[in-house]
Amino acid sequence: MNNVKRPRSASVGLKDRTLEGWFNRETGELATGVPVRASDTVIDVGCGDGGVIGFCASQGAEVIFIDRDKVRLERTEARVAESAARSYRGILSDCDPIPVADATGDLVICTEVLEHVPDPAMFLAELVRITKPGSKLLLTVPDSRSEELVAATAPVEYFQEPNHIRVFSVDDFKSLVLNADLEIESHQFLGCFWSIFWPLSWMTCKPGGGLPIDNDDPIVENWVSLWAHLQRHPDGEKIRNALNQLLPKSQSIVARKPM
Amino acid sequence: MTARTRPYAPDVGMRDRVKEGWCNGKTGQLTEGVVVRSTDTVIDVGCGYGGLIGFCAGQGARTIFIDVDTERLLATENSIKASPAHAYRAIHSDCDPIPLDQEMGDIVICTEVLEHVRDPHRLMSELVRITKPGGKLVITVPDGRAEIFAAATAPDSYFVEPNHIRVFATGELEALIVEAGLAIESEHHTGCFWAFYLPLSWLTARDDDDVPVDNPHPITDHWTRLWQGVQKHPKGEAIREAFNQVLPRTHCIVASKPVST
Repeated sequence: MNNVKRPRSASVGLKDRTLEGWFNRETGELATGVPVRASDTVIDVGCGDGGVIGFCASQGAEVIFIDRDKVRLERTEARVAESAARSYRGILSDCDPIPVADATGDLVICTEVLEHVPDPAMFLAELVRITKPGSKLLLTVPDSRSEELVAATAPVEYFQEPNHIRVFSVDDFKSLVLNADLEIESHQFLGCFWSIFWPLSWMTCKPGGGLPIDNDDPIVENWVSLWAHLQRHPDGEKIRNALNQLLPKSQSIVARKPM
Repeated sequence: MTARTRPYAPDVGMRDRVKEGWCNGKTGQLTEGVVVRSTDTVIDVGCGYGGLIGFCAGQGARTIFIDVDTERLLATENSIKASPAHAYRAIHSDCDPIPLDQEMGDIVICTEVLEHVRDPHRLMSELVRITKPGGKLVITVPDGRAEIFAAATAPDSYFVEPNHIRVFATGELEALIVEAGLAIESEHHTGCFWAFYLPLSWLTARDDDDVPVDNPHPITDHWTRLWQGVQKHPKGEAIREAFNQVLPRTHCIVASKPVST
């Protein structure tokens, strides 16, 4: 009776991402309204394991990716090395300042980073500096509503350096971007699957085991199975769209640097 | 491999309600801060199937319960007949106005009713009129956030008369209560289990189901099992409290009528 494969949270979450308009191979869009062309230079500041810049690389762009974590940077580098990227550069840096020349990027990406830095306004100013005038920035941060849920069960380190030292409400994030003299093109809410997953998984994981992304506790498994089922339901997106408005994991802003 | 019994959502929801402080037989509290004594007169305006007024009757209070639906009123009457209530009255009425004298109730209950009425200010002033000075009112409406979630999948009739014709946004219930001359004593948000269950259930229910509170679909069963697990977990209460802050089903206010107005 154990031949039913347990759905993996990572693949369920990634599937939602694509349903939310990210990583669109047909249109070449990294996210809705953010096309990546082979002629582009794309910079990812805080690339992590490289899921996002990896997509840009596969579109043939020139990619520059930076992280302060050497292991992750190398992982991204290995991934990009085998891609269609026309050229690439991995940079190890804490990005204070960002070791890239002014007006380099046709697209600058910074996902789930601003909540870690001591001065987000200064950090964003650096991101703007390396963006070409008229080009776009794709920025995401955790939404304050999901952070409130996570706080119920996550270990205290979750909200300490080097982790999340700042929580952004919808207005906080918007003002941060507008105060950097950027134009907001879109403000999207996404990832509600994770908003429920993380508090349940933190509650039931073994302490000290790192980020519990693959947790086989029945409480978590019920959630992952529920959501996998929902993704197969013809009207499942109604639930996802509503829950993304009420309890998004992340907010994402597509902004433009004026000419 | 024996068949696993299906979880029963109403039982799971009821367990939360008890944990949230409702109908506490030990302390005699209807909800936190509202003790029901056998000397009290308790009035339930829109009693439905009588879950709350039944608790008050069980405490020996004199109960008066009103509903526009005769079937529900009769069901409540039948359950109260069998209780220790020393006196009761069942009234069939649309409560416009409430067919009771002024200043009768030590406790006046009106749960999940204001979202159904055309003029909530008028009903509120009626509720205030029948409450004794110094008496308490227990008022609940569906939380606006849960209603947004419900709107994703509920049938159109959900937001049409005689169902929910009003959604209370943040701050609106407080304003209604304060404008009626009442003092707010406490406020809480409850029922997050249902805030998730119902949209999932409408998505997957058969068309002819009324409110599908016991839906055998795997999606709803996963949710109910998940929540049973949370209820049994030593840290489950932290989850419930956090979910009740961000996505509650119900917004409850306990108010009191000032002694001199």
